[in-house]
Amino acid sequence: MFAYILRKLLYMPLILFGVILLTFTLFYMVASPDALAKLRLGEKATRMQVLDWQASQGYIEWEDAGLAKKKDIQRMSTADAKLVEFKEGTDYTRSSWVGLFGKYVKSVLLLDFGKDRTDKPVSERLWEGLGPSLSLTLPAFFIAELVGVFFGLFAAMYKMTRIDYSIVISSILVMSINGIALIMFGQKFLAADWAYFPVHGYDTGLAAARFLILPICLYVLVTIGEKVRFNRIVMLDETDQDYVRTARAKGLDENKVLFKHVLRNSLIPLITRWTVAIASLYVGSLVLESFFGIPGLGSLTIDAIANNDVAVVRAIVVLGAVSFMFANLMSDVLYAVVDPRVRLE
Amino acid sequence: MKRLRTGARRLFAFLPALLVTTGWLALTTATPGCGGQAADETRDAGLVLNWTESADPRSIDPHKAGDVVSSGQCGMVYECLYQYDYLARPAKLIPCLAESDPEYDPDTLTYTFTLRDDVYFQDDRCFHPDAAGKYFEDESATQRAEKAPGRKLTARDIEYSFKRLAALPDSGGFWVIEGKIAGLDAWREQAVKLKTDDWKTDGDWFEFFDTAVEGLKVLDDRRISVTLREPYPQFLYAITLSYGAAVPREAAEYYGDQFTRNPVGTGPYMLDHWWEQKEIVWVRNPKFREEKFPQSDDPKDELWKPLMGKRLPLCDTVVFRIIKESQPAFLEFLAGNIAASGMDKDQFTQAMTPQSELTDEYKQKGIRLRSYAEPTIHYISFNMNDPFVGTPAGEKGRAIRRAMAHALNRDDYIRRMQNGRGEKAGQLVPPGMVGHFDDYYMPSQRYDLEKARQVLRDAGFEVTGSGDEWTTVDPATGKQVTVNVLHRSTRDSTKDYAVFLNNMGRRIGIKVENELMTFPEFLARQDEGTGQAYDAGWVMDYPDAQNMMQLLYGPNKPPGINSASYASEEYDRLYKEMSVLDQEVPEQQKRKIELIRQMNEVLDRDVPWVLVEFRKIFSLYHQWFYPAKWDEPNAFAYTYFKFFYVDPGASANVTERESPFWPGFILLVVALTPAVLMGWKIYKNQS
Repeated sequence: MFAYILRKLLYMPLILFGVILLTFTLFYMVASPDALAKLRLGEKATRMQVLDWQASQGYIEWEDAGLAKKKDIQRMSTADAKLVEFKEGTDYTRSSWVGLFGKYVKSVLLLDFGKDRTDKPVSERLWEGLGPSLSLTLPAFFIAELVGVFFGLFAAMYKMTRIDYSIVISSILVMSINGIALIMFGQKFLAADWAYFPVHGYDTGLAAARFLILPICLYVLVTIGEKVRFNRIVMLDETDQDYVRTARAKGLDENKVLFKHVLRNSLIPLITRWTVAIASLYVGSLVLESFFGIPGLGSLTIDAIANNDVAVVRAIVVLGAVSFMFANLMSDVLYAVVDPRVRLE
Repeated sequence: MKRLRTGARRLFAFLPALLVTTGWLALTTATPGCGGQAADETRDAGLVLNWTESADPRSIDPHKAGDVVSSGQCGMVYECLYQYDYLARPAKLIPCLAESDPEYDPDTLTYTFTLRDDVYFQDDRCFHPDAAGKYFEDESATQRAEKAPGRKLTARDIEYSFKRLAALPDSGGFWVIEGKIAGLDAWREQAVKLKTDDWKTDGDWFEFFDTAVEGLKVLDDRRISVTLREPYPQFLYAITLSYGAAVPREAAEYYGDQFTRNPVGTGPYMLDHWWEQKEIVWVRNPKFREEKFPQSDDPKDELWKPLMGKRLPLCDTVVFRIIKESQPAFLEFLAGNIAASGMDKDQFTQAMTPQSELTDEYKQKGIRLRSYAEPTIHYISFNMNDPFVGTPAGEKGRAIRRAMAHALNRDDYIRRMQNGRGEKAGQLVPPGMVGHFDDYYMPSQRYDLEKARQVLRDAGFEVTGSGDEWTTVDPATGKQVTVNVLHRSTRDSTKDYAVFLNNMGRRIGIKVENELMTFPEFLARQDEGTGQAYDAGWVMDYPDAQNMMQLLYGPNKPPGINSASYASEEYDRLYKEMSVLDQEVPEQQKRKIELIRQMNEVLDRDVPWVLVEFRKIFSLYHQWFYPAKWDEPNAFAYTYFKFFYVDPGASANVTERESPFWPGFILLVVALTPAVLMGWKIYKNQS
C-alpha cells in the first residue's frame, strides 16, 4: 500500500502542473490584460492608465523610446494625447507568456493567489470563508448522509412493501421540486412570514446556530431524495447476496443483518461518493450561502464570478482541483480499508 | 467488567458526535471576518439605520473607488472641498471642507481654496508618534489598538490627495483631472515609475510626494491654489466625486495597500468593522465638526422642519448589510429590518398596480414608493468603423442605422422589459439637466416601421414581406442585411432583451444577431472594435451635459469612452466649444444650450446610436425612514447618510413579529414522524 500511495503522490506534481497550465490558459484567454485593467480601473480609465497598470503588473514593459514618447504625450492636452496611437512593439513590449506562466506557477506553489478586487490577499479571503462554509456544509452533509443511509437501508429492508413505496415516492417528490424553489419557499414562509428563523445573516460562535439551522434543514431536504434513492439501490444489491441469506438463516436479528453486514458491504460505492463530496465541502453551498448571507466560500465564489474577480475564481478552481486529487487518493486507500479484497499494488 | 466495556463503547459511540459538535463550534467561533477594526460588542449602537448593498465595495479608498457602492462607502468617512446642497434643486454645490466658494482667476486659470478651521481627522493609530515610518503589519495588535488624536486638516492634505490620485497606478479617478492641472501629468509620469509591487519597498515613491507640482501651491496651512492648463468648468463637480476626497498622508503610508479597508477621514462616520459578504458597520465620528441640518424657509422643505438645525450625522450607527439575492433583501425590507429596497421584476409586479402605483396592501404596511429619473442613458452604439454599418458603408450604413433607430419601439420595451421604469430617450441629455429639451425628440429616433423600411429602400436595399415578417436584402451581395449586437451580460433579462431586438429586426427585414458575453469579453471586444453594435449605458458623473456629450467626441474613440468610434469634425468642433462653457454663468449657459441643440442635430443626421431610454428608479421605503417623504433626491450625491434619520419608535414596531404555533408544529410532526416510525420498527425487530 505504501508503494501505491507513494506512486500516486509522485503523479500529483504532474497532474498539478496540468491543472496550473489549464487554469493559466483559461484565465488569460478569458480575461485579457486589457480587460483586467479596465475591470480594475473602471471603464473610464484612459489608455495611459491601462498601460501603466499593465506595466505595474508585469504584463508589458515600456521600451526606452516608448518612455520618451510617453513623456511627450503627457505634456500634450488630454485630447491630443488620446490621438496618439500606441503600436505594440514600438512603445512597449508585451511580456512573454512563458515569463507570465513562470510567475503564475511560482505564485500557486507559494499559495500566493494575489489580491482580490478589494485589495485583500486571496489566501486570506479563502481562509476567512472556510469557517462559515464548513459550519454550514459539514453538519448538513453528515445529517443528510445519515438520514440518506438510514432511509435507503430501511427501504431495502422492507423492499416492495408500503414502507419502501412511501420512501421512494417521497424521494421522487422531493427530487422533482426545484432546489432553488424549495430554498425560496423555505426562506419566505419559515423565516420571513412565520419568523421561526432569521431571514438572512450570520454570526460567530453559538449565535451562528440560529442562522444555520434553516439552511442546514433546506440542504438536507434538497439533497435527501437523490441520496435515498442511490443508497436504496446500493443496499438492495447487497440484500440479495448469499451472505445475507446465510446470516438470516443463522438466526441473526434483522438489525444486525442490516447494520453490521449489509451496511459495511455497501460502503465502497458510498465511499466513492463521500470522498468526492467531502472534497468540495469547503467550497460551501453556492446557493444557500448567497440566499442566507453566510459569508463562506460559496458566496465568495458567486461574488467573484459576478464581479469578474479573476484572482479569486482562479484560486478556487486550483484548490478544487488539488482537493479532488487528494480525495481520489483517499478513496483508493479507504477501499482497501473497508474491503480486504482490494489490494493497492 | 462487561458493563464497564459496554459503558465505554457507548461513550465511544458519542465521541464522534462530540468531536463534530466541538469542531462545528470552533468553525463558527474562529471565523476571522472583521477586516479593519474589530467589532465592539459593548458599545451602545444608539440610533441605528439599517441599509443594504448587493455587494461589498471594491474599495473604501476614495482614490480607487470607481463604482457606486464604493463611492457610497467612501462618502461615510471622507469629504471633499465641496458637497451637494441637500435641499437645493437642481443640484448645487456648497462648501464642505472649504470655508467658502473658491476664488477663480480666469486669466491664470487658478482656483484658490480656503479650508475651514475646524476640521480634524478621526483618531487613529497612524497619527501616533510611534507609528511614524512604520507599516501597520509591523506593529502588534496591542500597539495598533493604541490610537492617537486625529490632527487638523491642512492645505498640505489637499495637495497630497491630488498627487495621490495621480500617482496610484490603479487610481480609479485620475481621468477626472488628467491633463487638467499644470504639471501634474508630468509629475505622475515619474511617480508611477517609482511605484513597486510591495508597499514596504515604496520608500522612493512615498518620498516623491515631496516633489513640487507646478499647478498645486500650498499658500499657507489653510489655503491652496490649483492652476489648470485649460478652462475646465466642470472642475468643481469633478473634485466633488469621491476622487477629490482629502486623505491624511500618515494613514496612506501607514496602511499602504490596506488603506482601502482602514479608512481615516474627516467625515461623519468611522468604520467600526467590515466583514466581507456580511456587513459594514459605521459609527458616529466624535470628532466630526459641528455641521447642522440645513435651514430653509422654502415651503417645499416644510417636511424637513423637525430636523433643521440638528447636528449631523442624525443616526449614530449605519449598518450596511450585504445581501446579494433580491429575495432576502426584499423580505428583510418587508420585515422592517431594512429601511429601503429596490425591486426586481417579480417584486415590482407584486408591489405595484398596473398603473405603476403602490398597492393598498403595501401602503397599509406603512411603505412608501419613491420614483425619480436617474441621470443615465441606455443606448446601442454602432461601430462606425464597421464596413457594413459604419462610415465606410456610406449611405447604406447610415440607412441601416437609421432604420434600426426607427424600428425600436421604446414604449413597448419600457413597458415589457422594464415594467414601466424608464422614459424613452430622444436626445442625449437626460431630463432635469441643462441641455435637455422638453420639446425636442430626434426625428431619426422616432418609432415608425414604415419609415424604417422606406429608408432602407431609398438606400437601395430590397425590402419584401408583410406583417411582422420582412426581409431586407442587399442587392450587391444578394444576402439579408445582418447586424451583430454585443451585450455585456448573459443574464436571463439580457436574453429576453435579445429576443426583443430579434423581433424588432424581423419587422424591418434586418437579422439582428445577439452575442451575449461576460463583461470582460465585452470590454475587450469594444476596445478592439470587433463588434458591429454594442448595447451600452452611461451613468452621469456630475450634472453637466459635457459628461454625456463626451461619449461621442472623436478623440475619445476606443479604448476611450467613444465606443462607436464616431468621428465628426462638426460635432467635435461644437463639443470643444461647449465643454469649456460654464453653465452657472447665464450667457455661457445660453450658448451651451444652443450648442447642445446643434450637436443633437448632427447626431440626428449621422445616427451613431440607437437611443433607448433614460432609466427611472422605483424604490420602496418605510415611512419611518425620513427621506422616504421626499421625491427629489440628488442622484449625484453620495455623502447623504449624515442627513438620514429614522423614527426610532415607528421602526421598532415594525420589527416586532410573533411566530404562529401551528405551521411550525405541523412541520415538526411531518419531519419527525418517519423517524419515530422507523425507530419503532427497529425496536420491534430487536425485541
